[in-house]
Amino acid sequence: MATLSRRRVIQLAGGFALTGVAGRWLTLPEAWAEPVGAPADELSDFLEISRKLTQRDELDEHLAGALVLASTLALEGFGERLARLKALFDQRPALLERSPLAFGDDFTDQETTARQVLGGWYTGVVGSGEQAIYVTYLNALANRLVADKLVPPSFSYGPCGSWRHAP
Amino acid sequence: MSNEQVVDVVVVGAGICGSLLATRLARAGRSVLLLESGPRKGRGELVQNYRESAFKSDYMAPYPYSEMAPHPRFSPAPNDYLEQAGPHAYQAQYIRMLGGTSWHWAAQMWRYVPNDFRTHSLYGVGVDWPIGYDDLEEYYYQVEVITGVGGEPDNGSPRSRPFPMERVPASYLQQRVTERLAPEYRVIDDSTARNSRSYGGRPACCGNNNCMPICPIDAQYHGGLAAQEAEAEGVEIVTEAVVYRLEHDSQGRISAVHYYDWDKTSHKVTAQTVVLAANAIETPKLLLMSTSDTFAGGIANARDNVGRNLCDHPAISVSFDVDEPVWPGRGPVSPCSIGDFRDGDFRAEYAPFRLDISNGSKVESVTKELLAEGYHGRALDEQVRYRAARRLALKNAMEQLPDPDNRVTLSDQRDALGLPTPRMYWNVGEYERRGTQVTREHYDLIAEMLGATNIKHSKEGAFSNRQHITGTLSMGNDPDTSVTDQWGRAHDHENLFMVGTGVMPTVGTCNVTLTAAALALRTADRILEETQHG
Repeated sequence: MATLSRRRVIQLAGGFALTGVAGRWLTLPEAWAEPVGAPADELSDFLEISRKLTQRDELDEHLAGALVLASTLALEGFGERLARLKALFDQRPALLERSPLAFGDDFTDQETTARQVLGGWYTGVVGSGEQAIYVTYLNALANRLVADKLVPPSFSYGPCGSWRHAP
Repeated sequence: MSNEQVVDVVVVGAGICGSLLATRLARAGRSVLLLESGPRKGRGELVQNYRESAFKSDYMAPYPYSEMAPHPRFSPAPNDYLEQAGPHAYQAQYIRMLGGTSWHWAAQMWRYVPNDFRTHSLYGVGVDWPIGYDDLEEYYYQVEVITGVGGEPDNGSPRSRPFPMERVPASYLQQRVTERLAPEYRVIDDSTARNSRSYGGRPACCGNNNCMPICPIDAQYHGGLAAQEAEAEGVEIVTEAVVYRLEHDSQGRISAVHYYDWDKTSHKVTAQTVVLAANAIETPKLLLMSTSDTFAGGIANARDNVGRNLCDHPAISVSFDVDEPVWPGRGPVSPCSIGDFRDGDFRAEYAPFRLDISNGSKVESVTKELLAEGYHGRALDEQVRYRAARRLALKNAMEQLPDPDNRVTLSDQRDALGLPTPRMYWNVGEYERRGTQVTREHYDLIAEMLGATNIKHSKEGAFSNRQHITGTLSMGNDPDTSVTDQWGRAHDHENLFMVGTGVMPTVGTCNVTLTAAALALRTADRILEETQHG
């Protein structure tokens, strides 16, 4: 498998905030200093899986790239696990018709990966604890979902008292 | 820079109380040195830290951390700075940084109710303060003016003058909850140091809904502003200065304060007056560390009272989905509460409390909840909006009686400078448990009145602390049962004063910063009075 080129990684992560690794701030140049071993088609797989999980056709490809990069750094064996999840979806598409997600005892690893992919998109954070990486805030899907009613905390809502009225 | 310095007054701890006191002393012409163990950071950097944090629900996460002046830390993993020795973990969240812990607060500036000062006389529980409400009323007002406090005037705390700040308009959520709970419950505006108009060179609140962990525009007052003002008044501030020992003379007066810089070079300060303002855990720690042949148990601890009687508000919480969209997350995070249970004869039987109603955005928490439940696709989108619009959370501020067994001591662990770290013992008694049961009944009734579904109570038998750390330096008339006198002066050390929430012998049913700050100004005036010919 081909690896993502440095140029491609920069392209993928461009426009998104630096990846803060638990307790310290990891600058992208620091991240780029290490070879990125993600398969060339990983982004494509990630986007395909993400579209199925979110039931959205339109997903930001730049953000997807940043999520792939962060997931590769924060989640052990992410590339392989993503491939297994894709294979499962290819074989058993009906799994996605269940809500909540429940892949069964034989596919717990794939279910975990699916939840991690969703978590990245909706919260803008990948991984947990020492491995947590911040990817985006404003563009997290949860914040975008309520953007007609709320602003993400720390951003201005409006003039003092503008919150008196029903949103 | 010389390693020895002589000033009129040295203040240890540049939080809101130490800084307000230092300002007043400097304004009266005293030379004042303010020592802060932590670093100096600006608001912009802290806001950036918050926005780029992977742990946005952890209020400590945006703040700088150093092994040289450690404080409790919870993300990415707990650092266990506070050793837990009791049946309930006491998870204090204080910041060692210029400005102190009120960098992350909701600017709650409540007065006690008058009977809070006399619970033993009136109800046979707790202890009486050596002073009463009337002794503090003027100082309450002074702090309210400095910090710009507004709120509901009819809240059980009598006022001789109106609030200096007009109240911040109620959010739609607050209006709906107020209407639906009336008349059984009276929901009122909180007393907060939050601008509803330009004040003190700072803008009006514009609803960033991020009072905790950091207001991005300084629409609310905080200790960083107090420290800034102290410096402008001529107070010399030294950051990254970790005080590790108080030295005394043969009369028990504090003759020197010793501190390490972060390179562990030792410095010595001599002063006519020494004021400790390093919070209700770090100040006892410093006193207990300062042992000598004469004071083998530490400074101000001849009767083993330092660090005892730790009180907080042992809290339980509830969350649920209201049967109509109210959209928490618009306006300040903590704007209103129910104060119907703060005082009354029932205090002889069970703990009084106030009920805080959260208006913090619930988007992040409900999203995590839904992801954990396995939602995906359109159902996830629908539920994020549904729950984010309806989720309401309440938490109580319940008075805990002073108990000498609840205390701060020194652990066997050492920090990077070789100084001992604090050990906490915290238990919750039957009095508070009975108050908890009453709280729980009200939670259920409130949930019913709001047509709640998805009701979740906090874990039965578990209590969180509200970061209202009091009692560990209790003031009192009797040296056998207290650490300081009514002025915050150590009973056995004439020139040693303490300010901050630790000197408060009871915790009441409200946030404690206003009372601590009022006491600090009262102490400052006392110091000025006693040293005017010095």
